[in-house]
Amino acid sequence: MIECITCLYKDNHPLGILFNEEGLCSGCTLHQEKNILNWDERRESLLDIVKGYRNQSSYDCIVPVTGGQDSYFTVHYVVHELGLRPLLVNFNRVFNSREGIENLQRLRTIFGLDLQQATMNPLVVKRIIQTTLANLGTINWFWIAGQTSLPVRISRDLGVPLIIWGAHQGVEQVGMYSHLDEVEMTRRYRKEHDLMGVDEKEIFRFDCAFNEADIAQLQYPSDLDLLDSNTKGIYLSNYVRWDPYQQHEFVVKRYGYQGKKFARSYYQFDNPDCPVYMTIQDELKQMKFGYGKVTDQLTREIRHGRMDRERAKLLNISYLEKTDSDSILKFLEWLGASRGSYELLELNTSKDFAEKLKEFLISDSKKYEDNEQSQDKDYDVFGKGVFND
Amino acid sequence: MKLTAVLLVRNQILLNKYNYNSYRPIGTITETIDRLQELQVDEIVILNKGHSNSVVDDFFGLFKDTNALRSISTPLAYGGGISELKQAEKLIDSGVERIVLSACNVSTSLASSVAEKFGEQSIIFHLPFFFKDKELTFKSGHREHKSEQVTKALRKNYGGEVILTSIAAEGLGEIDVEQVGNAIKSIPENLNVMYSGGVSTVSQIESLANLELNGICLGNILNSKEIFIPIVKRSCSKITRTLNLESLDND
Repeated sequence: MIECITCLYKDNHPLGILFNEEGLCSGCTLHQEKNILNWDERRESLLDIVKGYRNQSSYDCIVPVTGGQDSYFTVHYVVHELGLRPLLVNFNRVFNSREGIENLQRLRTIFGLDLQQATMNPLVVKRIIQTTLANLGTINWFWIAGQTSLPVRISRDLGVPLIIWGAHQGVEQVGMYSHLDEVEMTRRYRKEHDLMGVDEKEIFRFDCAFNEADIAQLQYPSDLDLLDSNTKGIYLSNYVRWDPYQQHEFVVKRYGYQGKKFARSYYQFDNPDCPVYMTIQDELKQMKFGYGKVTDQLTREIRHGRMDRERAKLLNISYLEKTDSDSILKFLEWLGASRGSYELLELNTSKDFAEKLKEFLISDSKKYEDNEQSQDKDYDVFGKGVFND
Repeated sequence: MKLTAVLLVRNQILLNKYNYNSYRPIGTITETIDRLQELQVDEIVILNKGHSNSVVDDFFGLFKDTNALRSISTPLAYGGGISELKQAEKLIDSGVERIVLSACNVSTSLASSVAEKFGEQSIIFHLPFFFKDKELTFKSGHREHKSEQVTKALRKNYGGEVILTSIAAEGLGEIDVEQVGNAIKSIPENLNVMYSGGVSTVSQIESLANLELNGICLGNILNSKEIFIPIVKRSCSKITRTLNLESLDND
C-alpha cells in the first residue's frame, strides 16, 4: 500500500487518490496550489459569477446548511462578503445532537434568514438505514441523499438558480480538481462519491418494499429540470482559501458556534451536529478503509502546517483505538436493534462485524414497523428528529 | 459538428489532465460513461494512459464483462497500449467502434494492418500539438514529431479522422483559435478533424465552430459542470446532432 510522504492518506482512499514520483499524494499537491493562487483574483471571479443572480427572485441564492461543518462560515461569507440574501435549506438528519439543533436555530436567528427544512418519515429513515448499513456499510446514505437533493429541488421549484455550497470534499481531501476548474455540483459526483454508487433510484434493488413516495424527499431533479431552471451549484472553497480551523475559530468568536467533543475526534468543530457520524459511522469507515474522520482532521492539520507528520501518526493511532459504546448502543436501540445485538459491536476486534450485523439486520428488519417504542425513554423528539442527550 | 467526450484513464482511475503533464483523480469510468450517455454525448473516446503491457487488459477490467462494454450504445473509440493487431481485433470484437493511435504510429505496420482489416475509417489518430519556434510539432508520449513527416504519411495512407489536441490549452480553458486554425490547415483534406484542449465555454465552441472541424472534444469540463452537453446542444446552432429533451426527463 502506498502512503503519502507528507500526510496520512494511503492509496485506498475511497474518493480515489494519485501519487507523484516523489510519493506526494494528489491532495497534498493541490494544497500547494492554495499557496500559489491569487485569492483576491479568485474572489473577483466569484463576485463576477454572483452578480448575475442578485435580485432575480425572493432570494439571491440557496445555501444548504447543517448545525455543523462549514455552515456558519459559508452563510457569513455569502451574506457579509458577497452581499447576497440566501434561503437556508436543511435536510433533517433525524439523529441530531443538542449542539447541532442549537447551532442551526442560532444560525437562522443571528442572520435573520429564512430556513426551509425537510424531515422524512422516521420509520422510512430507519428502514433505509437498516438497508444501507447491511448492503453498503453506511448509516449516513439517507442523509447525504437528502441534503444533496433538497437544495436542488427547491432551486427548481422556487426559481432560485444559484446554490452555494461550502467545501468540495473531493478537492479538499484528494485534490480531485484544480480550484481553477471551478467544479460545480454534479449528479455524477453525488452518485459515485457521495452515495457510494447507489442513488435513490437504485436503493430499490436492496429492498423492494420501498415505494416512490418513500424516497420522494431524496429525489434529485431531472436533467431537463436542471436545464430549464438553470440551476448551478458552486463551491465557496474554489474562491476562498479554505481552512476549516481558522473559519471555525472565527465563527466561534463572532457567532457563538458550538462544537462537541467525541471520543474518536481530535477536533471538536467539524460535526458537532451528528452524534452518529463520529461514532458508529466513523467506526464503520475504519473497518472499510482503515482510517477514520480523525485521519482527515490530522491530514488537514499537517497540510496547513500546524502539525508534524510523526505526531499526527501517533495521535491517529490512539484516536482510532477509541470507541463510544454508549452512543452506538443508543443508536442501535433507536434503529430497532435489541440490546442483545450489542455483542456484535466489538468493532475493533471483530473482523466479521459487518457480515454479522447484516445477518442480524435482515433477520430483524420486520420489526421496523413497530419499533418507535425506543423514543419513549432515552430520546427527545425535535420536530420529527431525535437527539440523545 | 459533433460533441465527443474524451476520457483519460490511468490504472483504472478517470483523470483530469492539465497541460499534458499534470493529472487529478476523478473517479470511475463506468459511472461517467453512463452519465455521458444520459447527457447525449455523440461519441466517447477513452485514452488509457500507462506503461505496462497490460494496459489494454486493464481497460477490459474496467467493465464487469464484455456484455457491459457491448451495451454502451454511444459510439466508442479506444486508445492506449495497443501494440498488436490482435489487441485491436479484441477491442473491436468487444464493441469498440474505432481504434485511437498516436502520431508515432502513422507509418507503422500496426496502423496499416488495422486499416486493412477494419478499414481506414476505423482509426483515429490522436495528435497532441504545440508550436516549437513557430513550427507545428506533434507529440506522442515524450517523443516529438515534425508535422510534415506525420501529415505526409497521413495523406498517403489514411482517410479517417484525427484529434488535434492543443497541449498549451489543455485543462486551462484558454484557446488560441488562430493557432488551432493553423494546425487544422496542416491536416490533409482527406481526413476529418476534431479539436481537443481547454474547451470549457459555449462561446469557445461558437468560435471553434467557424473552423473546418468535424467535432469538438470535451474533457475536464464534463467532470466539473453538471449538464454542459445539453446546454451546448441547445444553444449552439453549429452542433448539428439533436438533443432529445424527453430523454433528459430522468428523475
